[in-house]
Amino acid sequence: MGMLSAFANPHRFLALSRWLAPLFYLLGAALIAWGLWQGLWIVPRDDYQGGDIMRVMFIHVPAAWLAMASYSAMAGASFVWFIWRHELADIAAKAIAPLGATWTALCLATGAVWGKPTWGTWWQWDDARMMSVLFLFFLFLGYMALRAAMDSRQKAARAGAILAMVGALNVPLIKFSVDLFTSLHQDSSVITAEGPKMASVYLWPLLMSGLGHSLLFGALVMTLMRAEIWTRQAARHRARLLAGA
Amino acid sequence: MMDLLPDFGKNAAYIWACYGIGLVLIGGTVIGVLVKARSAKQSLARLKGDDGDVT
Repeated sequence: MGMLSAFANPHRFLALSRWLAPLFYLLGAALIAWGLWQGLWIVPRDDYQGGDIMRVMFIHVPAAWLAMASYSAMAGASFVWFIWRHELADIAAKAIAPLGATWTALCLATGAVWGKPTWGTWWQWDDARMMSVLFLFFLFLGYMALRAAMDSRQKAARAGAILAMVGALNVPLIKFSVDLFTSLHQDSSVITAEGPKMASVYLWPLLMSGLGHSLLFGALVMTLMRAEIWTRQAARHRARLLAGA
Repeated sequence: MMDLLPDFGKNAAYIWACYGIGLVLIGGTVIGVLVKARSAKQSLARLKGDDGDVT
């Protein structure tokens, strides 16, 4: 909570993120590289999961986690803006959207490529898991398009916040889609009520890879937030110059 | 060089395609974000002049 309070002021955020973002870039890249090395070179093939194709898991699953987590974070930041009108929360939500769309696209693309040799198809239009993740991708795009269509920053923040909060209903639907509906997708094997069902030789590289993607994502969010703060400061500076002229 | 790469048999193209997509998407995003931040910082610095305080 103390760290969040420190972040709540744009000037403190700029000072803190100046060293925190590079640290996150370094740690994130290192963990992703370690997960990649483990996933492609070290862990044994798992014939139960289709042989070597299960190595796609080390990029597909972190992308799926980030897709859902980033939307939840965007909805959370939108909620904070909506209730307390905190500018930094709106800046965070705006920064998360394009990055969340990227990781969701990565999840969809790697899932399709994994699906072809595993299920014999790239895509299934009536599959609840696939369609709910595709809907998540369109929610990110819709959020960005809606903000861009508004003629003032305040209207963009308000419309975006409402869409982000309503769209958050899709996140639990994605998580439980394989339990509630018929799906080609396998059941959850890491985040389950009984704990992970996966052997530790696969679980640790997967968790470290997930942490690496999260840190890299966090670094990118901080960088985009810094850029947005500078852009808003520049706009205010220009307005002052024009008013004084 | 090829000896360094693991042999994934008939699934090799699918596996490398996934990691290739990841490299392009994430690498492109990192570069795009850093360029955008640099551009925003330089714009503000130009407006404020040489003595502008841009953290």
